[in-house]
Amino acid sequence: MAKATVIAKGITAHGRSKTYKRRGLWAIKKKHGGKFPTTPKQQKADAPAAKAPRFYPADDVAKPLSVRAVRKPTKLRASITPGTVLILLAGRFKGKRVVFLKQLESGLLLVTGPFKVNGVPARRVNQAYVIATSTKVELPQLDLAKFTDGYFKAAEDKKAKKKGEDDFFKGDAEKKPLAAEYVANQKALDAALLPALSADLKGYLGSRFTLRDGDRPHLLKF
Amino acid sequence: MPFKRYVEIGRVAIINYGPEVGKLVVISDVVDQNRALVDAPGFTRRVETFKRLTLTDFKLDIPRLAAKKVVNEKWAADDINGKFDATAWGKKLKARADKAAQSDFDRYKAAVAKSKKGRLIRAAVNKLKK
Amino acid sequence: MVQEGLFKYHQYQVVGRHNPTTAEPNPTVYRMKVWAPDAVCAKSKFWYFLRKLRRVKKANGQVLAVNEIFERKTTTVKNFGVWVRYQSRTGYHNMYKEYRDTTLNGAIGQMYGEMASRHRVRYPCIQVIKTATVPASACKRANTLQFHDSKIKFPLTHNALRPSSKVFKTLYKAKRPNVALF
Repeated sequence: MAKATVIAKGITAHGRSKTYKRRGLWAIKKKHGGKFPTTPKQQKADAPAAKAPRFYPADDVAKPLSVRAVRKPTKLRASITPGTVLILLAGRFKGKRVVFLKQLESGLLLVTGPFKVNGVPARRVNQAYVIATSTKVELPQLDLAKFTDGYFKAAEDKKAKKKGEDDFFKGDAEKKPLAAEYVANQKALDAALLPALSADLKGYLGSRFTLRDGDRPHLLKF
Repeated sequence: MPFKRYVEIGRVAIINYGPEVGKLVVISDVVDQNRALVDAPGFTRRVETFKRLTLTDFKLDIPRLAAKKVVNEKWAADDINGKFDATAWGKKLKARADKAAQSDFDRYKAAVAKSKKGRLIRAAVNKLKK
Repeated sequence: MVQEGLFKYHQYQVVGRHNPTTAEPNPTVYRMKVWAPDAVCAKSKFWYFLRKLRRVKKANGQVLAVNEIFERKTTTVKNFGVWVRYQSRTGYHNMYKEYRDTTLNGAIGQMYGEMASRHRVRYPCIQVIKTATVPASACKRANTLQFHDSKIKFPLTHNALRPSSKVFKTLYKAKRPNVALF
């Protein structure tokens, strides 16, 4: 089997078919009925089971303990009942007075401003971040079945991710309008809730809580 | 320098320190220059120092170490609680307690009422200025 | 203010005797009332006195009982006479003192306080010989006698107005307090 003469780099004197003939592969094919013979892939011998490592780790790696405890449902503070006016303590609505509607599966509190009164939409809040006041609103019959943890989860996921450099220089992206469904739900909730609020209560919910000079928060009654 | 209020048997005083602050009591006996036995309806007679007592204008006509029954009767007959509440001092204490017991909503309502009052006064004053 | 449960010294009754021996299977039982901060100190005080008075020591004796004694009637003022013997820097002295209080324990507390302040004598150097509730007619001291008056009347001349609780204490006052009471 002569070696193919190289005419130039990458170009041999023999073409593809001539090379095929010259290599004699066709003969092997013929002998095996038109197919190259195949040898079954040899089963790789099993690696010696659990070979002792050459080195031991110098430090003990803490093995996480198995947690068998069942998480108990969050206990609602006794002072919080549906209709209680709460003061939010954290987040963009801090200081706002809102109405507590119900406790969700996750233990978070479902509250609303109502939106019409002070701009706080139906939202979830941890009870650790609220002060419960002694003021209670007589709640009308409300259909709160829509407001579940999943309802709010979906809203959060749709929020834009953190802006990169490009986004920053591009300027503010157009604000995506809130899904019509949420707006409608909030409107319906407000409409149901507003008749239950007296003018005094509306003004109260519309104002923010703040500490003033001489206020001693540990001695204040709420 | 005439003194108006004296330590004497039957003098009504008010406790001004400790857990029973604001409670009215009557002096039942004087222990020594610093302490007295004090009594009141619904209260076990006990020693209290004068440091923790403030004397009031009222005096019950009771004997020394008067029986609880006598104290109760005289106290009710003289209407000590009612009389004290009617004084400027009693009213001040009451107002203070009421203010401390205000809820958040009450505080809001008070603030609104105050600003409304100010607005009315300002309007009236401006009218007179013209 | 001295009050029930707040006494530094409590009254204990300690009962003890010599260990029974073959020569004396039924030794005399002694009972003593002592003032001490607790029952353990009361037993120690008991052995201190007993070994001075009788040929019984802690090493050859036994305590049969320790009971605290409580005042029965704490709602009346009594005159308490206290006879004490104390060791000063020069020698031993006897003394009679009178106190007005609702409880004997309170009177004893006053006595220990007064002995410490007037004579610089502390608890270990003071031996209470005897105490008694003294009727008004038998009282001797002017400081006790002046309060034996059902028409007693005196003003409080100095009024240091205090906040109603410790939490309201302030170091700096907005106004200079007026302590006059007239």
